[in-house]
This record gives sequence, structure tokens and C-alpha cells, in this order.
Amino acid sequence: MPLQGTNYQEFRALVDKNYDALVKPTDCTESLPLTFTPMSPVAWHLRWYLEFTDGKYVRIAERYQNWPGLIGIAKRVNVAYHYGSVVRRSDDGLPGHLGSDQVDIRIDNSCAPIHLHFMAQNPHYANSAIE
Amino acid sequence: MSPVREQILSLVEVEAVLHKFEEKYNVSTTEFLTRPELRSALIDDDVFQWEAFHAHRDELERLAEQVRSVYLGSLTKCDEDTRNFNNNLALAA
Repeated sequence: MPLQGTNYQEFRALVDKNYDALVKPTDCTESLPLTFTPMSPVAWHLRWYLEFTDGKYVRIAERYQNWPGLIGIAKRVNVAYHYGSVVRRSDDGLPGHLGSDQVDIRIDNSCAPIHLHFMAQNPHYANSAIE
Repeated sequence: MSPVREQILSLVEVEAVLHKFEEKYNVSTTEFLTRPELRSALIDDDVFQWEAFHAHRDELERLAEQVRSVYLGSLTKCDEDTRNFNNNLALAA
């Protein structure tokens, strides 16, 4: 995913190109297909849920919004990548996750710059501490 | 893989989504945004979407205001004769 500024058209072109090359494992189903919700060329979010027959799931969520002071440029402001066991489901039937639920790997920027959780809610591993 | 989906929503629909979250958790969007302790009890994806749609509402309102400003800026002031003509047209209609 781009670290520099982008816009919805550029971002979709990049994602579509890579998405078309993906091959879904046979034990994987999409409980929520990759779904974009664009509001403007500089504001959108995406969500994607994959589930595996061993009870694990992947959650991908990103939100972009306009980069203050830069006309027509958006930046990623929110990100969440989860991989772990399904321990509960939300009202819409998708895997649900509370902050206290253990997942194998969780990368997000909730309440702090982007960081990683491994097998537990704490500690938070900063991006600079990950090799 | 399934085809990529694209969900296009109007301002009214975005506001309906926000209202749905407010009803689900019995908390206003303002409270949700100003009381971080509430989030720990909510499903992560609901927090993500609630914040996203709140930001999207701001973006759609900004766009609507931009369109309105451009529209108003494109209007030309009419002189007295044109105004009378338009009034007569309106009366005739």
C-alpha cells in the first residue's frame, strides 16, 4: 500500500492490478469481499474479510482522507490488519474483535502510530522495532 | 476472488449509517468521538466504520458547500428590466 499521498483513482488502479493477480487458497472464503466506499477522490475506506477452514480469519481495513494543505492528495489515516481465531461474531455475521480478544497478529494505528500486537493485546511493538 | 465491490453512498445514507451506530450503542456520535473509553467495549470494525462515516459526512458536506459556492458564484446579477420580465413570466405561469 502506498506510503506517499495518493487519490482514489490511482489507489484503485494499484489495488485492482494486484488483486487480479491473487489466487485464493482452497481453504479460504471471503466473508466480506473487498469493498470500497469512496466519498470523493480524496476520501474513501475499504474493508475485506477472509475466513479459513481452520477457524482463522483475516481482517483488512483502511481509511484515507485528504492530506491537509495538499489539494487532491489523500493519505492513509486509519489501518487495521488482523489474523487470528474467530472468537465472536458481530451483528452482520462477520468475525468480531474487541481490543481484549487475543489474535495471532494485529497491526493497527489505534490510539498510537502504527504498531503490531503479537499473540496478546500488550505489548505494542512499534514499527521501528520490527525487523 | 469475488469481484471488488464499490459502495457509493449519499450524504443522507451516510447519516443513516451514523444513526444506526448511535442506536446500536445508545451513544451519540459526539460522545463516541469524545469518550475514548467507550471504544474498548465496541467491536473494532464498528469503531472503524463509525469514525470513517463521521469523516465521510464532513467530506460530503464540504463538497456540497463547494458546489453551492461555485453555483452561487456563477450567477449573474440581473438588471431591473430582467427582473420585471421574470416577474411577469412568473405571473403569466
